[in-house]
Amino acid sequence: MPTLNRKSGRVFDCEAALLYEVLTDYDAYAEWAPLIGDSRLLAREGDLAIAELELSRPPWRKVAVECIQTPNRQVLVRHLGGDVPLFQMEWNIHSTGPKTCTGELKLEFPASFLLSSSRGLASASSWMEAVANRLGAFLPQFSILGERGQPILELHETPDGLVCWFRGEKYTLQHAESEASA
Amino acid sequence: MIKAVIYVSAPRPAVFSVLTNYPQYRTWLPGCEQSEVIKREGNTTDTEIVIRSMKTMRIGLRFEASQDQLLSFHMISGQDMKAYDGSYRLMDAADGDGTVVVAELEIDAGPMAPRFLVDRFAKKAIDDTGKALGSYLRESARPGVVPAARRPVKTGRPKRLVQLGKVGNEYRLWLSGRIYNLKG
Repeated sequence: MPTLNRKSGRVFDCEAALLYEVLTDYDAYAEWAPLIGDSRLLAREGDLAIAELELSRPPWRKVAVECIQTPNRQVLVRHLGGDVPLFQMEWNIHSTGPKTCTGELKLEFPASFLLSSSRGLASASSWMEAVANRLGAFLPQFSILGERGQPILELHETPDGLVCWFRGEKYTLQHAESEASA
Repeated sequence: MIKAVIYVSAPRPAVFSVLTNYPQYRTWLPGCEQSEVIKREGNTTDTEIVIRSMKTMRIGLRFEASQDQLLSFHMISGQDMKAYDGSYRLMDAADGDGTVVVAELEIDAGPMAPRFLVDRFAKKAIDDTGKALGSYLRESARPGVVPAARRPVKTGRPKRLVQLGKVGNEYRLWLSGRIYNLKG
């Protein structure tokens, strides 16, 4: 069975450590990764993690992966078992400055993967785009609106609680229970 | 090589204890009719196991154990198969309650056995072993012993959850990493 590769690369306006953190937060993959409807970290020991990913299309198909991590440099995600055909994702991170880095993704999978209902996982460019959007969660300057867009609402989770910007005004949200007891 | 991940809701030492209690395999391992220790030397144990599957097979297995971490085995005698090798790697589960077992199994049944059938058999063997191990540990759990839950601590990095704005006649929503275009 021939093996196919898909590659993609991109420059990110963030430090290498942030990109690495996003790629190794397996519990959060369901929030941003293409075709992943649910995700959870099963175990982590040193630079090895085991995670389970559940597809959103087709639903309920699960795959267990082993993730071999080299801090701030590489994340290798390998199929361990499950309903999805064999595949492998290799992320390589290169720091190019205090606030910039490059990310390269190489996907490897058997040719038959393209005939499966999970073939959407085999798009390196989709993964790269998804990572860029996910990084927006942590970059203060991130905006999807462009120069002519009008911001309406932003909500942030901070160590001090939830912070909301509504039409340019900042609000700090208080927990409802503490408000009632005040 | 067939691999699988098994979650067992028991602490790692308990799981390792069951996996290395070779004479007791016949009480929980599916198909195991007999399990005998032949020789023990340090962390290495030679056993003879009789498994009833499609037919009754007698296999000599050598186990190498690293306390609470890894148990590997390979076939040292047997006429029904050319090779039967594998390992169980144990890790503490991230939920703080159980153990994650990464199981690997390689079977060589000889040139006459189709590879896909052998792999299917190996996958079933791992799955059945995982279920049986979990059931056995649940039934033999001591009441009142509840392991302390350990939850991973999230970093305090501020995180954007939502960004909503208007571009032309459309609203654009960013939600935790996904972008949605909303038309009025």
